[in-house]
Amino acid sequence: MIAVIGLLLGIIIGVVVDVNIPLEFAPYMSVAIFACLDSVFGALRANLEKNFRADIFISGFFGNAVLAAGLTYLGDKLGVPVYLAAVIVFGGRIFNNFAIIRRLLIGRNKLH
Amino acid sequence: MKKLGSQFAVAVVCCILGFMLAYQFKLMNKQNKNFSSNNDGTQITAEIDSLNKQKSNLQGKVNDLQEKLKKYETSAANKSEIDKQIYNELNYTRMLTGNVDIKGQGIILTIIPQSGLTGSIQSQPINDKDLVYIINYLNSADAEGISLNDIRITSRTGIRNAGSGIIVNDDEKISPFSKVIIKAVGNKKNLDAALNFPGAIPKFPNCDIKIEQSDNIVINKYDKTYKFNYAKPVGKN
Repeated sequence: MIAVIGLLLGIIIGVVVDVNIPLEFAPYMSVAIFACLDSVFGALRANLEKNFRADIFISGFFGNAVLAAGLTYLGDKLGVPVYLAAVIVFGGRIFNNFAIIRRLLIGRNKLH
Repeated sequence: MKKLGSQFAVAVVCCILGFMLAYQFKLMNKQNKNFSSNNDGTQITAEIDSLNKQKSNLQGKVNDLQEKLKKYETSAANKSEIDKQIYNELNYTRMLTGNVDIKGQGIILTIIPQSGLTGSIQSQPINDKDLVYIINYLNSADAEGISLNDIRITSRTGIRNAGSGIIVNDDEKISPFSKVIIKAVGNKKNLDAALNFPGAIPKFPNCDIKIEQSDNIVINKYDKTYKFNYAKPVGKN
């Protein structure tokens, strides 16, 4: 699938290219990655349920990332670890989506 | 067409995700490498001990050499009047640069941080800025020599915060959590009046401040040499 190819390509670029994003953004990047992972899992599940919509996926991807980073930044300024909320929620959703994907895959295998 | 466009968009998005993942991992690996090389605590303690011993040995040598130097100078000065005058000038200059021990009347200011109600000291009670402020006040009250925890303050002395301590003279560390003793030689009444002026001593949170006058204060010398790497005297010679 194109998605996997894109992922591999991105990883190769990340390893090869030496980009210098200032270090202060590192924690924001981590939370943003988490949000993106959640989007990807949601997309996988939608794909299996045959109601994948690219625009929702992309808007969710970037929107969640920006929102997660924004919440982390706000939490930094307020002194409250708000990023925990993002981590817990995204983690929960990833597990949920994964469970549904599992059921779908196993259900499909049974039919075959 | 629509499907191709959406597939392409998905591919781009996955590219970005892969890139971010790879970048983060690289960053984390780099940081871990930097931190794991500083963890042999016992080795560092042993190194500190041996360096301290070396330092006191060298200090003893410096003292011996300075004694010898004094003997040579006095014997040279006894040869003629002019030499005696030069020798006196030299001693006077040495007092100014802080290279000799001095004694005289003056005041002793002691700052003792008290542990708060919880029995532990939380934030740094004594700051480098406060110490600089006090020393500046003493200087403007005509102190002729100042020492901070027995470290001589000269015109080239720098006092700054560094981690959990305060570095004075680039080399010696004093801890802002234990007592700080500032001695100053000068007219004890003037110095006392200057320090007791409201606003002279900055507010130290949770600290006990004691000022005593004394008739016999000894201030040790600054025992390192000055280096002038950039400054050269102006004029002939």
